[in-house]
Amino acid sequence: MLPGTDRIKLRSVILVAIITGLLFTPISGFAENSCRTCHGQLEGELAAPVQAMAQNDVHASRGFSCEACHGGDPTSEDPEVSMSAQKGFLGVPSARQIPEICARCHAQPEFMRQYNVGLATDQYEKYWTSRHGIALKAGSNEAATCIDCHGSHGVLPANNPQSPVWPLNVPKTCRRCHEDEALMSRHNLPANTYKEYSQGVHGVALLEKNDIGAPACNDCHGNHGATPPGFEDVAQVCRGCHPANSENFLTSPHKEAFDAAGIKECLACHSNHLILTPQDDWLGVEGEHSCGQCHTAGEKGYQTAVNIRQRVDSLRNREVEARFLVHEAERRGIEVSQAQDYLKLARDALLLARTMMHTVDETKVGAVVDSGLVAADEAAASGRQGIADFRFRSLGLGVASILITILIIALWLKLRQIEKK
Amino acid sequence: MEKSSTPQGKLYRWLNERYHLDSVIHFASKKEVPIHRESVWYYFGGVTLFLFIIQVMTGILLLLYYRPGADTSFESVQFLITQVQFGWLIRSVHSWSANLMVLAAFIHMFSNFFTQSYRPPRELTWITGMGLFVLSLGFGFSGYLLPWNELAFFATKVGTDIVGVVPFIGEPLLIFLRGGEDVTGATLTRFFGFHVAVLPMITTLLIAIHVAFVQVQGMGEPVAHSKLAPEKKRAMPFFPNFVLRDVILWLFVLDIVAILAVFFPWELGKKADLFAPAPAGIAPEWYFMFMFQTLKFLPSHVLFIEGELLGVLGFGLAALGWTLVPFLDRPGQSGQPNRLFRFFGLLAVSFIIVMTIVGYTLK
Amino acid sequence: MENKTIDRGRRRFINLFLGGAVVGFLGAIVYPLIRYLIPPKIAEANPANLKVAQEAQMAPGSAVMFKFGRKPGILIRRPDGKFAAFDAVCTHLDCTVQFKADESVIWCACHNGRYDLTGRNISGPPPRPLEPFEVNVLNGDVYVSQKEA
Repeated sequence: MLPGTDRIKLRSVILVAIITGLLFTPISGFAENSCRTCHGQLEGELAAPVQAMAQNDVHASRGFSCEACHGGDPTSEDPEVSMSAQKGFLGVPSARQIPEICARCHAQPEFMRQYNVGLATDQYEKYWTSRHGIALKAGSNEAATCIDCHGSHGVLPANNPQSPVWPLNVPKTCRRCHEDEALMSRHNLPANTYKEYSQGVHGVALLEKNDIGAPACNDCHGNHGATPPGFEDVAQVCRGCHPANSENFLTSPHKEAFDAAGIKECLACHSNHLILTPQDDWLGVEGEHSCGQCHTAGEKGYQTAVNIRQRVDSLRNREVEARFLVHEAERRGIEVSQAQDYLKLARDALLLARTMMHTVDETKVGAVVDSGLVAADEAAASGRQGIADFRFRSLGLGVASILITILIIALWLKLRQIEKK
Repeated sequence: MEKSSTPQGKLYRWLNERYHLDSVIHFASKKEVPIHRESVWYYFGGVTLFLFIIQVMTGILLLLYYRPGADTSFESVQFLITQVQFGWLIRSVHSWSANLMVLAAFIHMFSNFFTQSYRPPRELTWITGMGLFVLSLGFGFSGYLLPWNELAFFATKVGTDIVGVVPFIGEPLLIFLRGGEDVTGATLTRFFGFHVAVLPMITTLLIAIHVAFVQVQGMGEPVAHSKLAPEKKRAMPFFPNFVLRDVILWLFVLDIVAILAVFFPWELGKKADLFAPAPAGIAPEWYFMFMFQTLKFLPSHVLFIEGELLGVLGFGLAALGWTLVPFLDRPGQSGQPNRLFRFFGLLAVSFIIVMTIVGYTLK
Repeated sequence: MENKTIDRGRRRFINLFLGGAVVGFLGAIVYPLIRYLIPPKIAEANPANLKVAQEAQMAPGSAVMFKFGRKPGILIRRPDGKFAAFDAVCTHLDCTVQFKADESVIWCACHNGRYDLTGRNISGPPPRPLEPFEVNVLNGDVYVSQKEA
């Protein structure tokens, strides 16, 4: 014998299966019904849902039609009946009703399993923990609900590149509200986050380079549980994708000092939305991002900043010089693939030195810089060798040309001598 | 030849007793090369031959290091030009000389066309020449692929695709050329075989026949010149006068090849990747550009015939007509140049030049 | 009579000059030719089949980096003792990946991209799996070669 609650569960599963089996099995696609017939003949706003649903709507394609969300009776041709309260007709759902409507299916694992085994069913639960959900519960009718991000009619699966929640489209979707100054000011939020984000490295990578690996809004803020990362969590979020920098930071004296002073780890230098490409002059003591923000002349940290900057600069300059020499050799038609390999090593070392800098440990940065300098010197030597090779080739060509010219003259003299006879 | 007691003299005498060198030299020095306004064109055949000799020699040298194969071709050429001393020079000379050879062959062919040198009795000289011309294009096409770099790979893909549109024999021919459905390592092996064995063998044979014809029949003269009274005609002995001039020009050409090789070494580019998408700017070698561009211009369908097929058939017919010119252009009573053929010749030259320029400028 | 002697002198000079010029010209041709024929000291690397490691020296759950042609590669001995080798360039932004023995994954330090030991991208930004190489063990030596197309 099964315990009581399990029996009820089992029964409800069977029931749901039977009902859905009866209702939806034979139908797929946006079926003809009275909603579609009438609204299709209307104009503007009242016809738009019909057109949108006839596209690739994920619900319509699985046999769900208007009444699944709006209620009513699509079998009746009489609008008085089909859209009557007795038939459960909802009309346009209010914002507060929407999460409930979606949750009727999307929070039911047994039900959803029939359509998409892999799909999570915790979105409803998470939603109420989000700032959007909290605001909605508190009575705001402006808070974003499911349809604000996913769309309503013509909903696409999240993994469809046309979907508003496809990674490349997320920033534009969030922007629709978060760039609205009036709306944002009512909720005490900045309206420039999209602008800042789109100018930062993440925004450029995602929006301009279409690097889907780059974070969109939800990769740091979450999606259904959309919340700004907490004070401690900021670095935790960055750490997800920048493990080496964060590892170095965590072992540095800065970790403790920042915590004590209440400075947000990564954000102190890199900001949050407007994350600019870090420049070597952020190292050192001058400029708004630099160590000079906190360290003043005479301190040990100040000197360390100066020293690290100088080491990184020395590698960068040597790498630039080597690149120039290799380029000069290449321009002269010398094969430089080996020199390019060394250049790559030098560039990798430079990158690593910039990462290592987060330890603020002069010796660790120095070791990386030294390995890079060796590679840069090798590349520069190859470049110089290439340029010297070219000189040798030109010289050889000069000599050969002279010898050929002498032979031509000799033959010409011989020819003249023959023809004079 | 005076009797000499120097070592060279003795050697000459020794050889002459056995191989009758005297008669060869006698023949060569009695043979005369006419001197007239168009004489300059006589040198281009020699230049083509000289460049072919450079090709054979540098080609043999390249074989010492080149290893055909999808895994080794690119690497061995890279090794050759970076690690082998003067390897870059040999490869660059081979590439530059190849292009100059095709250019010289073009000039040689058109100059003979416009001076009507193909007229009887030199019909077969013209036809063997056409054969050599096609062979040199075949050398260019097959050799282009051998470094197995990206540009060559795609050019070969496109080039062999065009063969595939020929009706009936196109498909089998395509498979024969590629060694399969696609351009792969198998294609490379085939092209290598064509390039270093099949083509050189046929070419050498044809060159021997072509040159022998010229030696037996002497140089062709332009119609106007041949009508002059004998005392008004000027000529120089083939040996040594003309040969010495030939050699001087060859040396000059050699120097140009060396200069080009040093200052514009032939690039190797990136290794071919069978799965990479075609890079932008895929172009055949310049001597195929006019055909490539024409095919690009043709609409996809002309009446019921595919545009590309029409183009390929058109070029095929044109080449056939061009080869058979000695039999089509019957000299009239006066033997004057046939205006119609002159017109077709000019049309062909301007078509090739315009299409080549368009091919390189139009993006 | 006098003219004839001058002529003969001239002729001898020209012949000598011509002989010298021919020798000089041949020098210009033969010198690079001989240098070309001398095989280079560095024997040609055989990129088709690269000996990377010895089987006995690689414990299960360890990895070595190697250079395949111009590209970095990574040879891994999986915990089950089998070998796998990949192009070590991360498919996200071209950083060089490394083996993380504690998690048994291939890891890219730049943006925390992860690949499993079959080279499949399993988390982080990498959009594609790593390119695999063919691995063969022969007489205790581990060879890496390009995978057949």
